[in-house]
Amino acid sequence: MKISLSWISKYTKIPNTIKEKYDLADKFARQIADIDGITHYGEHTKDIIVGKIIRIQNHGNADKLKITQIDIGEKEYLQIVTGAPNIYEGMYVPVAKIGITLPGGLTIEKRDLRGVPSYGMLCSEKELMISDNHEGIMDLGDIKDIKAGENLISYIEDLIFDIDNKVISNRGDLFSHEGIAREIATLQRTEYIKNKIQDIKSNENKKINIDINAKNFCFRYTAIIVKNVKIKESPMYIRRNLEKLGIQSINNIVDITNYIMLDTGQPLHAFDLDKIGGEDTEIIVRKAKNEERIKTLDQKERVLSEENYLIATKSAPIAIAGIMGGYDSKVDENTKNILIESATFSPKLIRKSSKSINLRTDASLRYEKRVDPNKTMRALLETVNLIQKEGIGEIASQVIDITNIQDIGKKEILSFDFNRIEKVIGIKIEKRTVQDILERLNFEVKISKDNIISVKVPTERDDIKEDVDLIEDIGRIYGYDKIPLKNPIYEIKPGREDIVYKTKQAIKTIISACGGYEIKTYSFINEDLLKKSMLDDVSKIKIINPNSEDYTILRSSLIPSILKTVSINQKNSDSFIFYEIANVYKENRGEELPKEEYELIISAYNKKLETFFSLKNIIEAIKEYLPLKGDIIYQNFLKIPYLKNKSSKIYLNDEYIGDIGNIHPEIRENFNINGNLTISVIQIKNIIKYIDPFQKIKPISKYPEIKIDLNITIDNSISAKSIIDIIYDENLRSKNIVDVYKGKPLKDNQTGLTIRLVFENFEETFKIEDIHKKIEKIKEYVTKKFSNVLFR
Amino acid sequence: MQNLTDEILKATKEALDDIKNCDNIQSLRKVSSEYKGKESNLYKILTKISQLQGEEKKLIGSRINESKAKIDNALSQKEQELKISEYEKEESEYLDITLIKEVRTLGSTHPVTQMIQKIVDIFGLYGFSHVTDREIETDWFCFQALNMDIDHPAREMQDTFYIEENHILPRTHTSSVQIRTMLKSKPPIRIISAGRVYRNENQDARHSFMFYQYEGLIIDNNITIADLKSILTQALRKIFENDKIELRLRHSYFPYTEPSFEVDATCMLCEGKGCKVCDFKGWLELLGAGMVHPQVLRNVGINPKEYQGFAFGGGPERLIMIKNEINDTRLFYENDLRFLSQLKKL
Repeated sequence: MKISLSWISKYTKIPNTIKEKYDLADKFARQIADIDGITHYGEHTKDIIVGKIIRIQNHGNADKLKITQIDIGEKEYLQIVTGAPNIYEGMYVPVAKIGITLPGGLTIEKRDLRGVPSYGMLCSEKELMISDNHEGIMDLGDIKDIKAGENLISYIEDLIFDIDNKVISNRGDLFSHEGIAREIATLQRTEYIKNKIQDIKSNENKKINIDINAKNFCFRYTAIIVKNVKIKESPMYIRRNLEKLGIQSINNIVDITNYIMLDTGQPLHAFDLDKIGGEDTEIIVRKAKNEERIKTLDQKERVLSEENYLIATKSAPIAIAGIMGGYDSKVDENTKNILIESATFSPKLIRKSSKSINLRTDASLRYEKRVDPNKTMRALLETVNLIQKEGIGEIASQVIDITNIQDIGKKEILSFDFNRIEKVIGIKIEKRTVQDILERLNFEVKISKDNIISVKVPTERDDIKEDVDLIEDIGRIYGYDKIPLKNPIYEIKPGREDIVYKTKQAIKTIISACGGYEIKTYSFINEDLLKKSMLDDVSKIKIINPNSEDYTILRSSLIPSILKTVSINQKNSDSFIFYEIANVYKENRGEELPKEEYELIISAYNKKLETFFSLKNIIEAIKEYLPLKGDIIYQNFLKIPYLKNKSSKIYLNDEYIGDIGNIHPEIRENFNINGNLTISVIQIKNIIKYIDPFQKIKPISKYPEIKIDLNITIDNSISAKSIIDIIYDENLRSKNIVDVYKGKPLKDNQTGLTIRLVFENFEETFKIEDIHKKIEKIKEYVTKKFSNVLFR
Repeated sequence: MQNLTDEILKATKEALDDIKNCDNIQSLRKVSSEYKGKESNLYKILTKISQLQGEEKKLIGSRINESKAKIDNALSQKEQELKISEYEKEESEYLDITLIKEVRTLGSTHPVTQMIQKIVDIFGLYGFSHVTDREIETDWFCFQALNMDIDHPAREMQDTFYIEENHILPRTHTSSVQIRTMLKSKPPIRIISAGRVYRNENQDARHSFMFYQYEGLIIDNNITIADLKSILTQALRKIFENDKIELRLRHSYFPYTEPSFEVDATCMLCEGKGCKVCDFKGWLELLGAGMVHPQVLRNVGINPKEYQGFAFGGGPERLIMIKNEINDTRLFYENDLRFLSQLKKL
């Protein structure tokens, strides 16, 4: 929302110099609301002076040209020849004298126009980069106390703040110049002067029939009829003020309603009374019907639903309430009588209505943020005051004011312990300072002897609900810069350890140390990527409102994303290892929320060399680094997307923890991957429980240790681990599977294992016969327990 | 006897010649063991001594000893020579130490991971522990509990992705972790949480539909805005390793904090003088913060009269971008090895 600083000066003193104005903007952005941008209005008019047209003569040799004599505060008038259509004697205009360079780059020279010398140029707003208006010379007639010969900039210079609406989204009262002015006055500690409103003196008894049918939507409806309106261009100051803030000037009546809206924050609307059934018409505020249609002011045909609300007569809708007026009831050059509406609508319902037809306007913006229902009457009176002042219409009815709010105008009182302020902010602020800040912000304040502060809240401040809301106002105006740094004092206790985070970090560390690069890919993928990865049959949780066709599904596998990443990077590198730890999402029957589990994916790519074992080594490294208790076993082949004969499931202590395998060539082709690619996926949840935080270290014997490899063949009914488990000897230091073999000469259901036993003796050097005895004992025991185990 | 003397001389000469002919340590060692072993000619002569008598025995014995000493001497001299010549050989060899093989042996964690780790470590010093929690949330945890009721604009479809309309959604901020934590544990609470968040935004240099957030929360008896300012100042000074950084709290609005702030830090690149990175303001907007709204505390069953605290949150990407003067957020999720391989940290 845009605010003009010179408009603010109607309410309170604003700084004179441009530097001070920018300083104010800086404070404003920190203590009131962030500013998205500042426009320095008129900044290009430093060299332009004010001139007054004294005389206009026709040019003898050209129909369109006029010869003007301009008073520029000097003894002699300046003669300027111009082709502008809008000049008149007595008009104040911007003058660029000879030698001046206009912002567009044109330097003014003495010229002869068809035999008549011209000593300068009269400028349009566009030529001065004030607006896009190039229709005529800029008319300075609205400027008070203007004097010929003075610098133009001193009269028109302004700063326009474009305020970040988000920061004031709970402050409906700040969507107005009067609201912002009060904040600025508080900040500067300058006096705030309220608008003076004159009561309407009228003997008209005419009433307007108003029926608020949608009571939950329309809180208050205030209206008046004005007759004999003279539609024309609005006064210059109104036009300029609207245009400065980006609102197009339409005609005097429409402009005045907009002007009062920008000033007070109360949206107003004028209907052409004769187009809505004349003075005996009935105005109905009601819900729209499904498929009901209305052509709005922007000439668009709108199809409505029950989410919209209408201002209507008995026969037709005349406006989408609070959003935009109807085209067929608009005020135009032929309008004679008008009805002016000043109403309050429900913020929530306006937001819904506006969203459902995707139409946001200056009015709906304000209604969404809440307009104080107490404002309708005051804003309507201001509008009528202005119409009367300009002499463009006469009151033709009573002011009709209907509301269904019981306690309108009632002010809430908030009381709390004064010490709360210090308890929240952290420093002591004096009572009189607190009182001053709040009173300037229009609160009524009492602080009792027993330190209770009671605050009467003005009706436009419905954001004030509890003590902290007021403490915020006190804090920001007092200035957070004045709060010194102070370390908190609290009892420190070690918090609970986040094992998931810690494990993730440890895995990242070890894989990186093994040469892996961590990637971060998007959690959303699409069908196409799944198809290319030959993973069509996985869980697919869909996003109902995706914003790109590339990202429509919550991924249940990390494989597609890493394939895409490998594909992109193989162009620049011949070999690399990538990994990612991220959630995958799966449907969770009977539960409200989907299943969400962390997975680790690792990929090893090499243009020429086999990659399987470098990845397998990384898995072993993870096991040792975390460390994981027990043994990792690779068995059982996998299917697509892996190659059957070059893949395996991974088990830790007989529990499935993941997969490893080379990727099927068809998938590599789908992703244009040329070279070897192995991928492994590990379930973080399944390994966390095997992390051994108390891993012990043992002394080593000074006598030589003995390594014995046992080659055994088992069938698939026995797990390798169950054999490892029963191997025991008092001198056994370690027992590990060092090789697994499948294939000829073994049968299909057989696996060959090599188990390495390491014996150690702390007393003496082993005698070879003793070791043989131990081995025989172990073999005997294993064969006794498992009849189908063969030692080779 | 003359025979024996001649044999000794011959054997000695042979030995000395062999030694002389050695051109490396290994052959010298071989020669050495040959002449010291039982198979050597000298040893054989020695065995004959027992057959001799008196003076003769004495004489031959001392000849043998002399010759042994000669050989030993020659051996050690030769050994010395050979060693020196080997050292010299290696010394004379040239290795171009600027040559490197192009083998990447060390990988790295993602820059975002590194920044999060840094933040978690720093807040760890203040007793904040990391908490991991869900990404797909219900509207209650992501919005309602945080004082954003059903009509709050942030909940609209143009800002939030939905799995089920107005109900199940990928979280739009990590603040949902605050709620889950406060429901589970009693004050005092000091947590930091980092993770993925999702917003329905179109991708460009400044926006991504997925990004990371870190979030901190402290709830205790006497936590004030002054504490907030102090902890955040020290943390940001550590993150940017710059003790000159000052913070500025700028009034803002978030439904879940009151008062609310945008936290600006002195631009560390120009030290507040104004530069391109800070848009010539001298200040950088780094995070959002505020005192936890009493309604949020009530929503999770904490009495706001007894406890209060502050929360803060921001984007690790933004901190990295400022530190490295990067201006395209897409770099973080394109996963180009040439980008990722720059910061070698584990």
